[in-house]
Amino acid sequence: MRSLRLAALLLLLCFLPGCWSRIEVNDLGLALAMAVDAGQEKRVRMTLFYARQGQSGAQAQPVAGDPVSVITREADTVSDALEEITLAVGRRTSLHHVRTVLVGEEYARQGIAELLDFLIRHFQIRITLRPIIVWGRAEEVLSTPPELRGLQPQNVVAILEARLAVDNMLQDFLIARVSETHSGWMHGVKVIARPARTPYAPSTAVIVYGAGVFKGDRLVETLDPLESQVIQWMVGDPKGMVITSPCPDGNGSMAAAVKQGKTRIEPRLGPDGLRIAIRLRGQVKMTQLGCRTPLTTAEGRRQVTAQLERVIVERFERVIAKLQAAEADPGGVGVWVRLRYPAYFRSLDDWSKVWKGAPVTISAEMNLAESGELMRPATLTDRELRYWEQ
Amino acid sequence: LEQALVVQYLRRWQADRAIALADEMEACAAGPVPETTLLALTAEKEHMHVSPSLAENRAMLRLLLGASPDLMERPFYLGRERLPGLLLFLDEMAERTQVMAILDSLVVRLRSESIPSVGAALDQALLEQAIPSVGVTRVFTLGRSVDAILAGDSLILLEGLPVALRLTTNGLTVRKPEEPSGERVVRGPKDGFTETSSVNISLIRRRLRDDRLRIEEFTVGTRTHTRVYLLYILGIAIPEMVEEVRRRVRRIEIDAVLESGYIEELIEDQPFTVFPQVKPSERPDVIVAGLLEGKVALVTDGTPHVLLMPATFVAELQASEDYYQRWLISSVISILRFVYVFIAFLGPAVYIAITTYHHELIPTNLLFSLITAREGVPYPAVIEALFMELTMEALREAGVRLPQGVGQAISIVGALVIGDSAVRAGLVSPVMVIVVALTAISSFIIPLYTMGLAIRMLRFGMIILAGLFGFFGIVVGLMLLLIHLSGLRSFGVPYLSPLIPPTPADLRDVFIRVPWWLMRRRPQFMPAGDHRRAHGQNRPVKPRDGHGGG
Repeated sequence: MRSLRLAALLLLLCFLPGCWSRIEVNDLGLALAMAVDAGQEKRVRMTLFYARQGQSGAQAQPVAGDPVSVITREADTVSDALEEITLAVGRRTSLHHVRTVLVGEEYARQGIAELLDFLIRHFQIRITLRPIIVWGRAEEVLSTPPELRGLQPQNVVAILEARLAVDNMLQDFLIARVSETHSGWMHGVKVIARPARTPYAPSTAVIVYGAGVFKGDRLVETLDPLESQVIQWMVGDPKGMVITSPCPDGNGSMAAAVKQGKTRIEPRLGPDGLRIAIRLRGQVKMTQLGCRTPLTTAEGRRQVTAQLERVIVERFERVIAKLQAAEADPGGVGVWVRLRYPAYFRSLDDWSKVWKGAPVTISAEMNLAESGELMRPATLTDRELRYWEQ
Repeated sequence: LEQALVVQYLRRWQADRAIALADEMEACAAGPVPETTLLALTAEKEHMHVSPSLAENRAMLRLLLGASPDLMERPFYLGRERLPGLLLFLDEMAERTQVMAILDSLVVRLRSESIPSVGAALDQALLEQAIPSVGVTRVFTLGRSVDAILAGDSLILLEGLPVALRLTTNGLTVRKPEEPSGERVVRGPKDGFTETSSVNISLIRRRLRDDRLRIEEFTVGTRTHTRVYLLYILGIAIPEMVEEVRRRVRRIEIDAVLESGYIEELIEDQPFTVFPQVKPSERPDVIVAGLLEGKVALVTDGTPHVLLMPATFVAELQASEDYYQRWLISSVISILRFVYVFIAFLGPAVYIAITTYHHELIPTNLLFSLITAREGVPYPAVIEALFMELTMEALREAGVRLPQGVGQAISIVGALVIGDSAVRAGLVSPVMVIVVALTAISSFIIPLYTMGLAIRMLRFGMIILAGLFGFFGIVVGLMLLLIHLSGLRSFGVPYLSPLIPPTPADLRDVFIRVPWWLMRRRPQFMPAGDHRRAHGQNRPVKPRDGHGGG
């Protein structure tokens, strides 16, 4: 009986991954990024970014040819495109370490449902990877040399991690995709031409630029960098966001960085329908001050904060109007409506239609927490300040 | 002539088997005595009484000891009556100064004195007055006489006296207690056990001046007659456990015990395991600490390794120094030791599993390094690991067996030259060298050498399991090991005590070591009679203001 049990156990072991499914690390073709564009001849154009061995680590050794392999294939489906690429690679393609999926703008406007389905089903894809919208063709990002990192996918992800407080991962996008209350969005990047600083510097660079807003699986609206900060403020922490504004008296300009910011979304269901109030609260510190308004007085500080509040409210109003026009709700206003009025929300056929017509009022309350070492412009004397207009 | 005396002795014995032996002796006349006859005589020696005839006794003892060249015979005549006598001892086994003192007393001082007539009064007088020896006992059989001589004692035979006198003169060259090479400490006593059991017992007694320390003597080994001493503290050790140890030692039937390892294998609970169920130690302080916890010790003559039982897995991972250093430092080191035990056990296995099956667990940048390092290595990681581990084991064994200076040279040659060359030749990857080296260093952290050996052996099993099934294999291996360890017992005490079964009160001396003023009880998993270590409040208190200082 005991030997029978042992035999059964050994038999069960055969169903586990065993030496027959072994892959040594040096047989791996390590894909670090995937770019998906609309194809020219076929529907999907996929590009995989492989790091060639010997490029990293203390034991790095030079390898012949390019340091990376960027392989592009076109096919009718995402799966077929991947299959085509793997046929061209002399190693076993591993998608475990794909850090980012770059989606071309044109492809995104056509709809990324198939791509999302592929990503969620592929066992090697991590749901923590970053989906990024590319203004232009996604494959161009992968063929652009990186700035401070060794490989472009790491460079792009590092920029997002270093610069942006809100991390938007594949899992967040998928949740938004299946949600009735809010829409998906992606950080955006684009390739820019730039004058070479040295003979060896690349002529193009990849920068993070704005965000793309989706309705369902289609890209419906693009936001520039300043506008995309609104989404950051609504869904997370706007820490680090810079508000640049003219001075309260119209002479000169000033800038403040947000230290901490919170958004309170308050839906109100009245006889005339749903109204939404968005209240912003934030702590800012002055990063630039070219104004006569003295920060040493309470009145001066009030004028400065009032001006900052005006700017941020205007920016919010502009972006909210764009989003309402696109029937997209990446800020999650619908979530608050459903929490506050669940029965009402259940009765709705389509939240996006309601969101489009809902009046939104925005108010802001800024607190000037830090003014810096000086309470006046650093480059002007008191006399110059006094005779500013002259 | 001697053969005739032997025959005469055997005939005087008046026993059937003696007569038969005498016939055999006569049959061989002046020729060599057949081996079978000699063996038969030896087998009967415990029943052979000391003869009143000095010549017969001498002939018999010479026969039983094979006329060994180191058997020294010193005839003398006692007193004014010039009573013939014979002093027998083994050269170098008996201490010559003691033998000389005895001879001086017998031959010189008693020369002009009248001695009592042969009989009970004679040996009584000798025992009480004449012989300057620390121990004098009467021996009635030739078997015991032979044992006495072999033990290094001297034997006095007198004409007409059917009793031999055994004088304690054994004075083997004794090694001085030195710091044990296998259990070095930075802080703590530097003396260690030697090969002489009496010295070892004295080292224990010096630390444990308790009249309740009990020492029982056993003789094990039909040929070696090795003395084994059972030590325990009355009132602390559980009587049932002491009795169990006693029973297991008595049960041993073996011809020779040359090291305590013999005893260990003969008394342990489960022979089919790599884990030591008895803790050997060369340090008296370790043994005394064990005795104070209610454990039982076995001191074996001829080896510096004293056995302590019962042994538990946790106790075998503790070093004596843990109790000498400050408790916070000891606790951190103790936790680190557990971590390193895991590395020593699973280091290469985890590396193989990750690099062969679970690449997704490796950070991307590290994976680049691993891929680069393994580029061009022709063998799978598991073969690579086995090759390196086997090489490392060979180096370690070579380093241990060779003389100290050469051993170090071999280690350096192995570690530097072979490792570097293997990497350059593309046989192994540099990362594997790091993993194996880290594993080897981790295994040195295990205080008990036999436990280190166990973990080294099991590591190979885990490497193979990881190479076959990845983390599934490692988990299965760990489960099997846990099941095995949970079933192990050392003299009735679960091997994983106090973790399994859990004894919360004893966890204060497992991963961390609480300060001594909190360790007020002996281990609870081994209930002792007197379970309190401290009766008073030992916690240091801060002096009140105005007191102390100066």
